[in-house]
Amino acid sequence: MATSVLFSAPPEEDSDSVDPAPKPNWGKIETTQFVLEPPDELLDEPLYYAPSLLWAFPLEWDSEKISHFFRESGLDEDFIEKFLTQERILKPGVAVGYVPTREMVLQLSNRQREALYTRLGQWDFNPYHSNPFEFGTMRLTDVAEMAPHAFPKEFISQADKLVYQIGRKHVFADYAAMAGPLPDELARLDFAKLLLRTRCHFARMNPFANEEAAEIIRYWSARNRNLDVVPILEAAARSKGRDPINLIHLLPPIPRSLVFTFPPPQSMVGTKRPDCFWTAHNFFTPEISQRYLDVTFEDSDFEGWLPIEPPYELGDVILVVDQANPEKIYHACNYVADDLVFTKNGTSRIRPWVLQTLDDMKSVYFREGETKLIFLRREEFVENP
Amino acid sequence: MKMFRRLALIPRSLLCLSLVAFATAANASPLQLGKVGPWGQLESYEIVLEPADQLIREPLYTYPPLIWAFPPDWDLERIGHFLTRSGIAPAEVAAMLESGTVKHHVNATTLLPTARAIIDLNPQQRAALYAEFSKWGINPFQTAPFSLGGDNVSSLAALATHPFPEDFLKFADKFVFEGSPRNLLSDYPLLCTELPDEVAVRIRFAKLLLRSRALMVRLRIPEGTSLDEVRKYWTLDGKIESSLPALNAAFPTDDPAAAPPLDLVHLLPPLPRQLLYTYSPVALAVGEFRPDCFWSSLNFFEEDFSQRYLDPIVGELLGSEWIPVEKPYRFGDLILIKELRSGDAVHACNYLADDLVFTKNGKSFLRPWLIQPISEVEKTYSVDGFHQTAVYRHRRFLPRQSSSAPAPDEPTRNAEPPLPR
Repeated sequence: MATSVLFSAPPEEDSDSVDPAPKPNWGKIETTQFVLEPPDELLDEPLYYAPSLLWAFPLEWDSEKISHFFRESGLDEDFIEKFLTQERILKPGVAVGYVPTREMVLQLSNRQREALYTRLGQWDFNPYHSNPFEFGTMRLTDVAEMAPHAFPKEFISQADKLVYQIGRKHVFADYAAMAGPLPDELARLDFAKLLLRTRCHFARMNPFANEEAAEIIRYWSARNRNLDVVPILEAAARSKGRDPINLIHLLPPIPRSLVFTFPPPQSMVGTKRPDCFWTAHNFFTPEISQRYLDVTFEDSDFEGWLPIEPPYELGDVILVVDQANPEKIYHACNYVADDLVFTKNGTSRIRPWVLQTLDDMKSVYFREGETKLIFLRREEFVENP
Repeated sequence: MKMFRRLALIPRSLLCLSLVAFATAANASPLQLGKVGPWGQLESYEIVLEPADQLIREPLYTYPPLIWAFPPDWDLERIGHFLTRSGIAPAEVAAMLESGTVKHHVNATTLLPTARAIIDLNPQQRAALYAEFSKWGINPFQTAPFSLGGDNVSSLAALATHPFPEDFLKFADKFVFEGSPRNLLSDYPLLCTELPDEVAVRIRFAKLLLRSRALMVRLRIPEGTSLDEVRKYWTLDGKIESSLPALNAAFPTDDPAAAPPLDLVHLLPPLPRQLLYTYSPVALAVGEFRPDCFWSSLNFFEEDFSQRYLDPIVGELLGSEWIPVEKPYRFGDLILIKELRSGDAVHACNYLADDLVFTKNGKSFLRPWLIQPISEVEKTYSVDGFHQTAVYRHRRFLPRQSSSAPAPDEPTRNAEPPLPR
């Protein structure tokens, strides 16, 4: 594996300036921001429509052990004592849980919430804590403001106070406490959809002059890896002054079929689902290759790819890596054009494939001073490697 | 061998082609607003697709052979009788046979036809002669002629910019004849002799002949239209939800009429979305079997291409997986154009909305997937009194009690007409 070549001399990326070199001609691109929410069928689980407020512990834990757990999480004796008198629920063979009151949940301080929930999240039987709603660098109020919704300002404000941090990521695990009191299932699902919003962009290329056609076609052909788009671009060049072309028509076949959709159930292979690495590797493949879900395939396997300087091209892979340890990769996506990227931000079925700005992607994964961007291209397409 | 000897049928002064400065500027096609229906309202404008140069850059198009081929066991006498019976003047027949261009090969006997012989054929004679040629499989431009649909060369040229003079186009129109489907052109090699002897020019001409009209389509939600009804239409009552997130994002519930229109590609299932406005990659072929209209239509809702649809199995699937339906048609319905007499299907496509269809007009690599009005498809494949249209819906989109149907009276076979180009 060529990771040593890959990471030995990566180009340092200034997070404010991605692409200072002269840009290739991809045409004039206009974008419209919108917000994608998952469809109802993906949220058709009790987890979302009938959430249970429950904190669970290993089956063999007794009160003493649970008390010790709470003390280590910064909770005081009054809280612990009250907690242990709450309704006790046994999940046979799995865990023992207690139902805290909503007030107990709301009264936790930020520090307590962060400590307690991070530790509760070590167990899968606390699904909201082991897999909380994630907002990247945004707050819940930011997510709510992305698009209209039916929830009162106070409700959103209250929910926002329950956001805590794992590392630098803002997360939210008190879905049950907030959604439980909502009037019906529909309202709860609407709340879940709000929490799962993804900001993305419709994009289109404005009509271009004939003199630009050759350069634009050259860019979108991607060194002959995307020749499918040549006819539509030539048609646009011939039809002088016609409407813009939706950028979806200029993507290679796989991203074209996936963008703005959510993974179907049959996209899983064993326990593995398409993630950002699967997506990045499949960008130019004529047919989906499931080898990127093989247990033997390393997500960090970018053998045959070389780090590159700007200008970037369609399909170049962008990695978000740890600044101190570049072999630790947090995310991969593909450059499209004009700082738009094609990305799947997470393995979950409730995370779609989208076109986003590079900045929006970075708001989820990038941490100033802790991470950096590396751009890669297949070595056979790198001039003067 | 120098293939091209200009016949000077068209004065050289008119053939100053500049491939950069186009001779004719086409106006942008107007935006058409469709009917309002449960689908919302579609707006569309015409685009004209041509295959990329790479698909045409082969000797058949760049150096087209101007020869006629006959079965290898035919002698000169037999060839002469055949050509005379086909309506070619005896003097021209004699000229061809005595020209010294007759050659005997293992798989054919070939000769160089005279330009006069080709030019003087009337359309009926041309159609009959070339129909005979096509049976032997050794005359590539007769076996697989350029299929112009309802167009001729001039009308194809008028669709978009091109560098060819008016006189040349009118001359080329003389060689169009009626076949199946519709208008055909086989005399590409002769017409190339009238053009400057440059590969780029011949490629440009071939691309013009291979033009396909398509529609760029967008969805609007006019005032008073139920957004719920629109969602139900495009998701087939919630059974296909892949497009729902984009639909919901594009049209907010509070004022969907104010939202900008949404490109219809967002509402297509994954496979047609992947294929729309593209040409079939060679990788999709299996041996000599290439994706055609039947493969495309049957794969419309599939998550992954099924290559079993390269087999002629339409008849097996009708009545079992696809059930006949009456109007109103719905998204994804399978439309078959069948010969009345035999019941054979000559074309298949999928209904989208407002009488627009997703279609691949031919199995050739040079015919793209596109959106067209059903009337355009029928113009290409259907003749009144000889063909009928039948529509089928996949059983999973039907209510349970109507998901089975009696088997059709006659088996329906794929009977796509011989390879138009």
